[in-house]
Amino acid sequence: MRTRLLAPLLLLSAACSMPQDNPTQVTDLRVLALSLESPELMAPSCDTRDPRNAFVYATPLTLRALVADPEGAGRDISWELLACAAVADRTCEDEENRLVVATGTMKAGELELTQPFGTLTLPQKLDPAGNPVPLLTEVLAKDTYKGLGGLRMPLVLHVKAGDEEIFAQKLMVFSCRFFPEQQQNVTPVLPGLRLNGAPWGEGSVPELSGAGPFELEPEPYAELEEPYVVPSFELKPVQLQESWKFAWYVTGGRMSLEESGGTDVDGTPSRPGVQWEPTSKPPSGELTFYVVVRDGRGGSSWYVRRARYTP
Amino acid sequence: MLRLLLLLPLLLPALAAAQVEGARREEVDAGVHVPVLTKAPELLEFVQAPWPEGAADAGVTGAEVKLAVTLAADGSVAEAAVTAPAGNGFDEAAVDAVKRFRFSPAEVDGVPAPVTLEYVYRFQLQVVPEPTVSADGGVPAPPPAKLVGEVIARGSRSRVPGAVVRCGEEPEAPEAVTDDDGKFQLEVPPGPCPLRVVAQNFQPYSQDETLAPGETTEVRLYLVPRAIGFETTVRGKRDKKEVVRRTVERAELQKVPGTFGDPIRVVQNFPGVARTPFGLGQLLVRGANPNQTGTYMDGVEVPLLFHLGGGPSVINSEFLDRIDFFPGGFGARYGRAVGGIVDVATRKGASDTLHGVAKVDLLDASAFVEAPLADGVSVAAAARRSYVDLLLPAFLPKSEDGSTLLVLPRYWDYQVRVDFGRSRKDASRQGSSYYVMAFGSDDQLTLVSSSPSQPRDVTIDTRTLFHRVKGDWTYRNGRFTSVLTPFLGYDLVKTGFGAISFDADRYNAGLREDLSLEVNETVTARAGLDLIYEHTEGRAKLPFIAAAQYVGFPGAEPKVQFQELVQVFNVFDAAAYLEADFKLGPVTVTPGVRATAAHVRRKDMQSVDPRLWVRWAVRDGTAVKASAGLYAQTPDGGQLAKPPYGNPNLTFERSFQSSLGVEHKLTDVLNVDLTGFYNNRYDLVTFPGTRTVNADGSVTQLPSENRGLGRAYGLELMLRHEVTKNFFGWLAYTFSRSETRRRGGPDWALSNFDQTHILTAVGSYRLPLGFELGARFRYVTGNPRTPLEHPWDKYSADGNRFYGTNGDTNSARLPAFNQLDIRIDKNWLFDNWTLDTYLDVQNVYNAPNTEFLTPDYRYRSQVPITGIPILPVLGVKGSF
Repeated sequence: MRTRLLAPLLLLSAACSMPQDNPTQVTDLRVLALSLESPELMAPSCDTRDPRNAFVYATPLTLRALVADPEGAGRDISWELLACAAVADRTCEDEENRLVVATGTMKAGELELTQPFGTLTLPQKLDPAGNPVPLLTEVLAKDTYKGLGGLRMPLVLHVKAGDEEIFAQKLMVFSCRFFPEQQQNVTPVLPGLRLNGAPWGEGSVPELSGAGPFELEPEPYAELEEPYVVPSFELKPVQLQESWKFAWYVTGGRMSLEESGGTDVDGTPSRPGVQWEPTSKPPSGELTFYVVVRDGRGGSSWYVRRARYTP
Repeated sequence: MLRLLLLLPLLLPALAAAQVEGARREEVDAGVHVPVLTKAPELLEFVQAPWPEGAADAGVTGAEVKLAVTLAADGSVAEAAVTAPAGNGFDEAAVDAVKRFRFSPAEVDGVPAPVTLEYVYRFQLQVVPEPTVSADGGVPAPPPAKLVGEVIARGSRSRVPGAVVRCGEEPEAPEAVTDDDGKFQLEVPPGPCPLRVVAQNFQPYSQDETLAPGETTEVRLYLVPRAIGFETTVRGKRDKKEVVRRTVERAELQKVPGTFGDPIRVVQNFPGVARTPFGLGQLLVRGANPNQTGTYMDGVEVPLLFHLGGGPSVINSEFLDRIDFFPGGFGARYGRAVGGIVDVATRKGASDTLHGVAKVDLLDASAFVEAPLADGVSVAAAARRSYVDLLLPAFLPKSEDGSTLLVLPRYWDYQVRVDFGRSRKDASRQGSSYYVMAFGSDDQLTLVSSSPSQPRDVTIDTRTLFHRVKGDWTYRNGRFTSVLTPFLGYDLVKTGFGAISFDADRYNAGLREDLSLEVNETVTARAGLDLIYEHTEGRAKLPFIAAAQYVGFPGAEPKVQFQELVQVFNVFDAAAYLEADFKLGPVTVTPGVRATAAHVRRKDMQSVDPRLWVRWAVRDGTAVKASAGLYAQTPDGGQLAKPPYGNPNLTFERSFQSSLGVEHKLTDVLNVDLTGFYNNRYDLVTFPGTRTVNADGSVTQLPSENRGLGRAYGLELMLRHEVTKNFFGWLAYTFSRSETRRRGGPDWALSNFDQTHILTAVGSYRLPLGFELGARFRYVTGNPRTPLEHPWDKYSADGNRFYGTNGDTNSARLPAFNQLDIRIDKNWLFDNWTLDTYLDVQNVYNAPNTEFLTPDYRYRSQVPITGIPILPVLGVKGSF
């Protein structure tokens, strides 16, 4: 009993004292977010013979990446965008079922690429007629749900700089209107940010000093969270509503939470705001803050803000 | 004039103790043939040993020779061996005299049988004064004085029967023997009376009284036990057909260091049991999962043995008679388990007088009382209540930022047992005896966590409660024994987590009938029924579950539609068993079979499990044993719900268990046992089950399936020093390998708790002045772990989380575990009660044992989470 009672406490204390990287501190090469515009393509019909579906899936989509590299001092970052068939293939290592969509070199910041991802084909894999197999066909073949709830095509951004290498996966959702009330997802965009209760616009660089605390929170956004419907395994509608989550990053100090928002499994909503903590070795000078919003169904966007801090 | 006086050694207390133990055995060993001493031998002819000449020359005035005396079935002394010599010729004199003793035949199970007794032959040289003659020579003697009283064991209020009380030390001095209530009465000449009391297992007692003519003087005499703490009793050896059955007696149960006096945790120190992290109370037996080892209390299956899953056991340690632990190859009487069996046996209440125990430590307080209610009726009762929920908040870290962390565990348990039907003086053990027992436990845990550094406040409430009422009717007639055990029970499980709730009520009833018949000297047959019926009503309020009811999206935490679920189902599990011992000279062959028919919800399943045990007594004290058999475990009814909550096609988990071993008795108190085993488990329930896309596009996701495979093999060594007056201990070593795989899945891999070497050394020694010192040392190979490789970061932008790149499953290991625990007891003996304080220190040298590794958020490296640091616990126990 004694040990049983103490065990969780010991774990808690251990967790609090682990000498580990803090995920909110951005120092080295990081892919902080990937987004697709639009985050979902919804075909008007779930009948695969409906010609309108192919038209919808051929819509060009824009992939955006938020890449940070504070210690890289502006170095070149090589990148390649891969697409593959299996969701579990987080690095697109299955060469038979992947293709390189694009490659290039970038600096830290944002990367933007537009492609009709729904029409990608696998040149190394031919159908009986000798035509390259559509990647979406292989995505369907690899999907253990066989398309129920939509197909998720993995897009993997592979970035490399120095000895750092990251594979970052984003799922593109191709769905169909299974229930009439289903609507295509739209990208979640925050109305704005507040710092210590005051609006924090893109151009403003507020001065911060002292030990804080410094409160960061999104502007009220509840009305923007969309209700949506997904089919259950028994093909009945399940009513859901988006509950946005926010990931917070900073180039100096750290955030009190890595992620805020969302709704617990028991239905309890979480706090959307966080605190920035200068830490015991406070940074000075200009800091970059990032907040990434995710709607939980593939949609995401972000804000980048700057502030000047003096201890 | 010098006159030799031999103080008569006393057998009666030891034999009485043997009878009490026998009574316990009868009641707790239902169905398993256990020899019971039904008639104690009585000393019919005492032979006085001569005072050795050499001793007189050496000026020795007294000596004690301790002997192990083996009586033949006719009561003659077959062997007398000195176990504690005195030298100076006393040993030879004592052996020579004892060999000429004559006893009435002892009877075991109503039949004359050989037994072994401990006997102390005491020599004492006395100076006997010359008799004096009164001056007038004709005056009539004054009226005698009367001395009445009772003899009590100091510190426990136990009455001492069979003690010899003498007024004077001369051979012709008046003497009396105390009755069953420890009372005596003497008529003696008035005047000085040098009271002398001797009793087996007690120190000699003397007290001077002056008695007035014609008056009655009452005295109460407190004898000091020779051993405080460890008990030594004469008891019949239990037949053992299983290759391995480890039995822990009461004296060991409460004193093993590192267990905090939790008796059932002692089992974790035996061979074949893997170490659990953080000292949790699970039993990992020969590669099996914790839920694959059955737990019984007096033959009735109980849902849990430990409070809050790994805390103190749910039965008061004072209530225990012993624990039988079968790591495998258990008898056909047991079933519903593919791992091992733990059977906790309770004891009947005291039949002499009121006794009790109160115990207090940092976490809980408990009390135990036992007393006779009438002749042949005794009661024992115990209760415990925790108060750690009141103390814990004081020790939890305080936060200046408004954080709150409350962990409020509350638990209580109770046990009541009433025995009746057999007069205290009825030593025949024949006919009927009964007892009724009620026991239960309630665990509640509330966790409240709130902090700005966590995304949300958390409140969790859980409750687990059970009650059992069982009856026991034992009937003996010659070599036939019947034990009927009906029981009723109620279980409650309740969980609340925000808007989520889950609660289930389970009503159960069961019946056991265990029959045993010793057909003749060659054949003993056992048979029985084991029936259980369960009715469960479960209610839940849950959100729709992603991946179980709809396709989720990585990282999503949406507001989800809730559903209310109601499940009502029945389970009927009936088993019949039959086994028989065939004694063919030195070889005993025991074939057995257990047949099970279960109706779980709407599914019927049957299993017939043959088992075989062979035991070859190579020579006295040495035996080779082997076993092989099939075992089946019925799945829980809740697991057979419709998808997505269950799999209605689940069936028995099964195992084949085999073992081969040898045991050898090195000395009277030291024995060694070496056993090899191979277990093959199959049809194990694994999670999750398969996912099937149906023709209409719907999906069937099974949460579980019978696809698990497991195999374990190894060697177990047990070197054990039985409980003696001053010492008990054992050295347990296991060398084993345990592997698992999923049918249709990857190849065999080490199971998560595979531990190649498990070494446990336990010892406890009684020191002078009421001190006892115990120690436990453990060395265990580190658990397997899957190595983390880091060629690059893998990040899911949708779920906002990283993934690791792992090496082969369980292809590396954590560092080896080593730990020393020490326990110090100090007993204070008062006239009517005993105070015991103990300090149990875990991890004395503060070894930083790694229990598991946790990665950083990018899975680039891992840091160790260490186990319990040095942890002293102080406790106080008073008993009377």
